[in-house]
Amino acid sequence: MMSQKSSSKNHIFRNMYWHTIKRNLGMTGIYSLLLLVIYPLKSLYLLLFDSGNFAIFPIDVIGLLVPIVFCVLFPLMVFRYLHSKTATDLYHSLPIQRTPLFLSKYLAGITMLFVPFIVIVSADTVINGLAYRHYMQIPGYSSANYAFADELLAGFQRMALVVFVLLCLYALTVFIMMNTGTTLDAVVTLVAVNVGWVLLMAALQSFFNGMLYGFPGISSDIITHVTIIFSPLAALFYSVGYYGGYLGYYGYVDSYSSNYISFIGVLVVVSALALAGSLLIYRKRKSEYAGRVFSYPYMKALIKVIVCLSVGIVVAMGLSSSHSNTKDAVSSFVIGFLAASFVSYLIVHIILSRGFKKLGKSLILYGSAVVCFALVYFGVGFDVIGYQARVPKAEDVAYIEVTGSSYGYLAEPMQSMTQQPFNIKYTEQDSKKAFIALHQGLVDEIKKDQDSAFVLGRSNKQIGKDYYDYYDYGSYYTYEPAYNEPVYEETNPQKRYDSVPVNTEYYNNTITLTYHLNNGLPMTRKYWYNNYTFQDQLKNIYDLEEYKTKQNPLFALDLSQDITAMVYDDYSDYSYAADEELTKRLIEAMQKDYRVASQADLNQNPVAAVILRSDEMEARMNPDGYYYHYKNKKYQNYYDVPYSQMGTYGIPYENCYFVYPGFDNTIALLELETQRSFREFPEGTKALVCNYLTLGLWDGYDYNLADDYKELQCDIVSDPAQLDRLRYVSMKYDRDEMTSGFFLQYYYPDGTRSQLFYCWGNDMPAFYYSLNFRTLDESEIQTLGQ
Amino acid sequence: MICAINLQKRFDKFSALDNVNVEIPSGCVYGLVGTNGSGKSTFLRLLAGVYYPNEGLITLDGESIYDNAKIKTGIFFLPDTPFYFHQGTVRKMADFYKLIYQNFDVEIYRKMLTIFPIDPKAPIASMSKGMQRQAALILAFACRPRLLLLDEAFDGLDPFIRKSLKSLISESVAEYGMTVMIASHNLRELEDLCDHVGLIHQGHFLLNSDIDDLKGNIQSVQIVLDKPAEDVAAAAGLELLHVNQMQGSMQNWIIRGDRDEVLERLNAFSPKYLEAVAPTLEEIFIWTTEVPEYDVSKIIL
Repeated sequence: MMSQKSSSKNHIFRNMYWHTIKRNLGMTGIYSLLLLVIYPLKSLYLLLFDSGNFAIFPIDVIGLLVPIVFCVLFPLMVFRYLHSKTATDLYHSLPIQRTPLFLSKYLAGITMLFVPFIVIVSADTVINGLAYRHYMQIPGYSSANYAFADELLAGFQRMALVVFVLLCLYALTVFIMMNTGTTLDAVVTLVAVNVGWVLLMAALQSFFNGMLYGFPGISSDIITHVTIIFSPLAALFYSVGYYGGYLGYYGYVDSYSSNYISFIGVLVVVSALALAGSLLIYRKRKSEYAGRVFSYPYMKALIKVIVCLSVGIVVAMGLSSSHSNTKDAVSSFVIGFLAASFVSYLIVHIILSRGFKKLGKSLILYGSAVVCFALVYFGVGFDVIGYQARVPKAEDVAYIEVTGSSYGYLAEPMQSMTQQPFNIKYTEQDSKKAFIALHQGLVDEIKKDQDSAFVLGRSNKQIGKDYYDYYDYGSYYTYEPAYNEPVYEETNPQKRYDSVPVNTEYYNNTITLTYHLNNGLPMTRKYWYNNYTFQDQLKNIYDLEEYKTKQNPLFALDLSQDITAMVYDDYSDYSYAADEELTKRLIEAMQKDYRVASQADLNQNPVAAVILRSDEMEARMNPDGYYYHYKNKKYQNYYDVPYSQMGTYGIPYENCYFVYPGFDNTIALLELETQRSFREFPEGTKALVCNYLTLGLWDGYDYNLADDYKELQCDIVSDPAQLDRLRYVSMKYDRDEMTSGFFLQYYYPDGTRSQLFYCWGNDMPAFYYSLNFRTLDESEIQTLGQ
Repeated sequence: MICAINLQKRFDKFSALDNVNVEIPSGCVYGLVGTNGSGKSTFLRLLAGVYYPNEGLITLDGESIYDNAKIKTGIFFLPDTPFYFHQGTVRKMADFYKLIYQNFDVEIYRKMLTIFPIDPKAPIASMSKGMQRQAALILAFACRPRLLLLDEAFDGLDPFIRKSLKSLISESVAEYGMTVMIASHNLRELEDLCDHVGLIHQGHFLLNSDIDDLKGNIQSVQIVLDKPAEDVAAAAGLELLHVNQMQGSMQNWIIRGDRDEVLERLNAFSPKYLEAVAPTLEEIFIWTTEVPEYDVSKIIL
């Protein structure tokens, strides 16, 4: 009996499922046709007739737009009977329970959406994969660096992400269908939630980041995950892995990144919750809600609040940002918020209520939202919880985690790769005190900057004096000359350069201090500040033993690896390959010297550079500069690997450590081994300095200054002080041909000469502008080597 | 047996049905009469399992109807505005119902197509209102329900089709034991078809009874007597409901009671003329539901 009953239920469920698919075959056909044109047919066409534009796994904007549109259309079609009184009469009087009725239609919609997508995109992936495999066999073709299986897998992973996003959007759309009485309301709700929620999240993030000094910002990961709860579409635009938005990057997915997994996790959870919620609501849904504007008022209330708050905050922040005066800024914020939020609230109300019906009652909700936000705004502004002024005591702190971009610039070795922020734990009492002193200095400086009790957030303004506070020429004239800049008496580059205070660093740095308190709670603050203003506090930090040893990767070397050292005396084009024994002794000597070096020592011009290289890392590099990432199991661009991951290999592939004049241990060792002086130029050294690279003369790295100088504007530098300054510049030489600047070559008294240095424009020394650039005579060149 | 116990249905603050308690026997043709907005359609939707009552219970053969697929297999609800699929034809709709209603009878479907002259391949949306209703009736009967709920079933039907429909309903009741509930605001339409009738007004059932019982209990007599009606009725122990002065001294008395007994008691007063005439359903409605707050003559047509 039971089985017959169950069989009958299944029979009706199946019939309803197939009937729904059959009813929507036309739309499914159009959808499939569009997918066919966008995916495999396009790929085949490009492959056969336009292989130059052939792209690998091209899931792009158009390719996503179609499934997104149908992802919304299918639920609207499948469940539209809920918005029609007559159709509801039919469906709800049928001999089928609500649960199977809902599920049969839900599954039918999913089938219509995903079967064509998965089949067609899979076919496209296979076509792409096969074509790609073909290209991989062509020597020199860029794709030869990739592993076929990895790329094929990546293609399917991208597809999987899209499938989960669509699934979530589908589930959310169905949920909205269950919670609305009319299709117009459903569409308005869907748009308002998807757009309004994203806007609100962005606005709140910006609001809190801007209002609170020291607020480290809500992690973009968290924001992204919270955003996609109500706006799964946003997942396609946010970053996945270490890359830009899914659409922005044309679909690169780092499948092993936690982001990808957690994205999928959030999408699955939201989809499941939306499905469960939809089913629950559908089972309780009153048939009489069909076609009614005022069904499910809570959903409309939610939409109104989301829209009015997001619009209000965005407009308010826009209006207030132009004011530096607190009173004006707050007035603008309040007026902007009230006006924009009210108008947007009214518009949404008129749409959802088809007029001004129940407006009076609805305004209570608006008032409540405004009051709540006002409490937050003024609460944050007056810092009622003391967030901005709080600085912990050293004895309450277990350890401090410090992340900063260049906060220890002077002690950092020059790295051959993109500078990655360090994340170091400080546990020593002295270290804690030094960082807390910096924190206190930052808080005190903020207080000085306030013109009222209301803390006006200026997240875009650094703490401390600005560069221009020390510089007389304003922002228009930087101390570097502009290209082809006419020279005026009052603003000539030399004068500007000279006006810059000596030994002043103008770096505007960020620092994130995460206190791990003894009570187990973390406390994080992030600041953007000017180095010069806080030079005293920074000096204390720089002199810390713990800072020196933990900040510098030299002290974190994995000596079990094969490390080779190259010693460069760049100003003379000298290089020396150290053997294993010398490398070890060099590392020890440098560690000793760095440990005792003061900031003044590190401000000297370096006399040599030691490049330490991990052979193991080098072995993993392929000829195009990609290295095999064991963890990610694929070749990756070297620059895309975060420093934190590189750390797992002991040292980065290559790091350059300067040797400063005060490094007695290192210099003694080098001089002993190489029988050369590393402290100064040989007497009589001269430098040929030539002005900006002249277009047409450039011929890659093979440019021969000795032969081509006649076509350039050059001058000769022989003053030891100027040479010393040039040495500092040439140490930091860069081989970027796009860099506008100058180049130089040293000529030694013994007739030898250095390599050619191409120098950055912003490394130009002040005396550069007083040089007499001209076409040199051959006789002048001949004096160079004498 | 349909049974409503303390049934309430509200739409926001509006109470469409209020504390309804009725029992309707199976196998009858039940006419549900009431003005627009009286609660007829709501009652039908509750019976069809479309609506869920706010309070109370409505059952068919002792089982709750809402979300009960088993019981709903035997119920077909034909609303006043039936829904058809986009580009739907009678054949396509029949295919749909065939999938859902296990009792769908193809033979009946074909027979119905001979009774109602409808092209099964023509889009229903392009048909006239009357034809659309015929299309709906074809499908309704083909599903062979135990309980057929018809809301304003005769709307838009020409006299010939109305007659056919009435015959069809009678046949179905006789042949399959089908229960038919027809909601209408037109009492005269139902008079010759229903054997049970209910009068609903402002969410309340004013009347729910077998028509024969009703007719047997209300007598309309034409009488010529030179004594006041009230005195005669009191003396005869009869409940006089209404007196209507006719031509001359002829009066029409509406009296509650058994026909023979009424005639016997009145004959004792030696009237000059006495004849019992069959009361119309309308008269019965008016005189049986007369309560102070209702003017029944205004709520039935």
